[in-house]
Amino acid sequence: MISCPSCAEEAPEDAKWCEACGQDLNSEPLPVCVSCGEREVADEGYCLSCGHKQPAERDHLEFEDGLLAAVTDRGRRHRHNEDAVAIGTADNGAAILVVCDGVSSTPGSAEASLRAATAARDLLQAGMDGPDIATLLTLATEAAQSEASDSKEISSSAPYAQGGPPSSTFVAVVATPNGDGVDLATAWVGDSRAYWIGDQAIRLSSHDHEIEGSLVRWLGADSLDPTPEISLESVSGPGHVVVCSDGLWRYADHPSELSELIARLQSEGQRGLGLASAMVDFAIDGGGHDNISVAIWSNEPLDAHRSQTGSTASGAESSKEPTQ
Amino acid sequence: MTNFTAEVFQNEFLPAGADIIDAVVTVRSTGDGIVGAGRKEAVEMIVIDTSGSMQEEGGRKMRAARAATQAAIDTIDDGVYFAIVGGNAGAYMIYPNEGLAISDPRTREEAKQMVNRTQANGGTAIGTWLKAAAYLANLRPGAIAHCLLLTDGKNQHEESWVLDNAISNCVGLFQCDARGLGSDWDIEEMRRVSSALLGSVDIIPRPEDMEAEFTRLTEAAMGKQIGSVALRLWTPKGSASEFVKQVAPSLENLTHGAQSVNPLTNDYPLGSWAGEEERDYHIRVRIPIGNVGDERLAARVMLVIDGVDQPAALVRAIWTDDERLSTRINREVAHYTGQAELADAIAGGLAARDQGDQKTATIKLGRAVQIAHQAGNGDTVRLLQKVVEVDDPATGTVRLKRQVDKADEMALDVRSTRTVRVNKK
Repeated sequence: MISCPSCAEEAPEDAKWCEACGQDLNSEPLPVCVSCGEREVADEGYCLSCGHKQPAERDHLEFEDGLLAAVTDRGRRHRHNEDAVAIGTADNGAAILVVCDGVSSTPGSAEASLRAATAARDLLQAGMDGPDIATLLTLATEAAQSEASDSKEISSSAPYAQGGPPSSTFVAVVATPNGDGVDLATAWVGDSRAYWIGDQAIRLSSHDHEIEGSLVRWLGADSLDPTPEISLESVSGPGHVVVCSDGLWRYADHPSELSELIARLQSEGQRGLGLASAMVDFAIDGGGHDNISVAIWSNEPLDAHRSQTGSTASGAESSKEPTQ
Repeated sequence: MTNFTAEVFQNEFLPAGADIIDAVVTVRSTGDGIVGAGRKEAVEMIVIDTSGSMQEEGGRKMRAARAATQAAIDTIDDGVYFAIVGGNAGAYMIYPNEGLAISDPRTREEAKQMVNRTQANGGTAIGTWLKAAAYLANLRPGAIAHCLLLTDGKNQHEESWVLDNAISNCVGLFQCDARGLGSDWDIEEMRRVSSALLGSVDIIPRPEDMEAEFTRLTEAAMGKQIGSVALRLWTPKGSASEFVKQVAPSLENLTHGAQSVNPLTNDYPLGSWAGEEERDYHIRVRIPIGNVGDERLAARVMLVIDGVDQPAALVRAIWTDDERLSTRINREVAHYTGQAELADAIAGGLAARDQGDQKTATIKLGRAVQIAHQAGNGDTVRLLQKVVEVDDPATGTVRLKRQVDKADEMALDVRSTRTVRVNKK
């Protein structure tokens, strides 16, 4: 016997219809609402009981890959998430972190950012034993620009909706462990950022391509200058690479603010994906005015942190004193 | 074929903690006015007051009523079931002798001859007239039935509850346009009839205006070939529909006509429709409060045409802490909120004037002039000018007129619920 999903009346296994209420017993049961828990979500994405709009897949995504973690979230103000993140590990152990912030005023930017981030990550992951890292990052940015200029909205013959063609920012970091330290290679176009938050040093590896609040470089069909700026540096000691969209850094702009945030969250026991999620929650609690994306990588095993939480946190505190 | 569409106008953004969502829904029919297989059965009933007062003024009113009814009969399409009913302290058949006739050139000619012989005497018992119309409409169940009801006096010869009972027995059977001739009838009584029976109410100030009005009303009725249209409203669990109002072409509160379909869904009958029509509805729903960033479906509006669902329009609620969004004023909602305030100001102003409260009357009628002037209710401004001297329409500065024609005052009162459409840009 089976029971009817609608009225709970018992029916034979092979019954097509519920004798009591007429429910089609072979139909797919409706998905469960994330808000009220009723099995009532209709095609339009609204719950047929409480009306709650079910989140779109892109609204909140989480990724984890070894020491890499990334979270992207719609935030509280925007109706869609046009940010995209992509992470991966290359054969040589290098960590790859990419964030693209689709420009919300131009339709199709969500697709553009996702394709750009994914293309750059794939190229970096496959090309590690090829050219030098700066050339590789340039090629990755070109791949991202090519995808961002070729999204569905672009290829359709319709004239661009207001705001122009889809466009996106771009930032990619390749972090290669090197003995005690890490070689960091960063490429960026626009105002998405890369930070190094280490026990011995904290810094912003990129600088925003903007003038008086307006982007002056971006990826997309109407980009005037899609060439990336590239920064190569070596850092030593334990620390985190943080790659993020302005949805996060507007609430923790200076490296010292980000460092304090990470130290606080670590002292609360957050590591890896938990840490990335907690950073996103921090931006949402701060207002969530924009889409929020953060990708992080730590250059020491997660359980190493766990065993020396106290010293790491206090070490971070003392090391950033000079920068404040 | 006739297509129906529903379009929602709203500001979906709510500030944190808000639980009221407003939307204007424009329902539009396009096509030849026929739904399904061919033309539906139709019933046209003309109920005319033949009380003694109709004989006053040397029989002028009765002569005009006869001519108007005859003109109306000429507009009844072949094949339509029809009847002419006379009303006084009772109700009686003028044509045919009993039941309904089927319209053709011969029956229409016979009907006009019988109308010619009608004499006026006796009282006024409108509930009894409606009972007769209900009896006739029941002879053709499922047909699109329309009644044109004329009175020149108050419902003097029966208790108020008799009229109310009769009205409730007619709900869903036929649509009724109620007309009052002259200025001795009661607007509130006739509005009870027309509101419940999804029709219109108006004054016919002079007997000579009757023929044109009767012709217009029966012609319009012949055009309404889609009998049963309902607005189906789904609202989420824990919500309450505060109101559902028709707001154009006139104000009509439909809230109390709700018929429950299931715990979350109600049907609001919209009466019969022609092929090319547009009406606006204002819906207000109180919904459970969501968190900032949440989106909730506040209402799903469907049209049910002859029992068949049409695609839905969605009323959404999105909570935001962005004041630029939550304080946006939706033009349609604001416009019809103003039109409702205009109707209230006229009703309140006339009531105060009746009670001798000149101060309140001046303020309210002044406010009415101001709103009507701003919103472009030109007809309403002209009606108001017969009751007040307008010094400055922009500020609503007015003085009450000393001498006001009773019919002018009634025209203002009865037409206060007429609205103008929002200017589509």
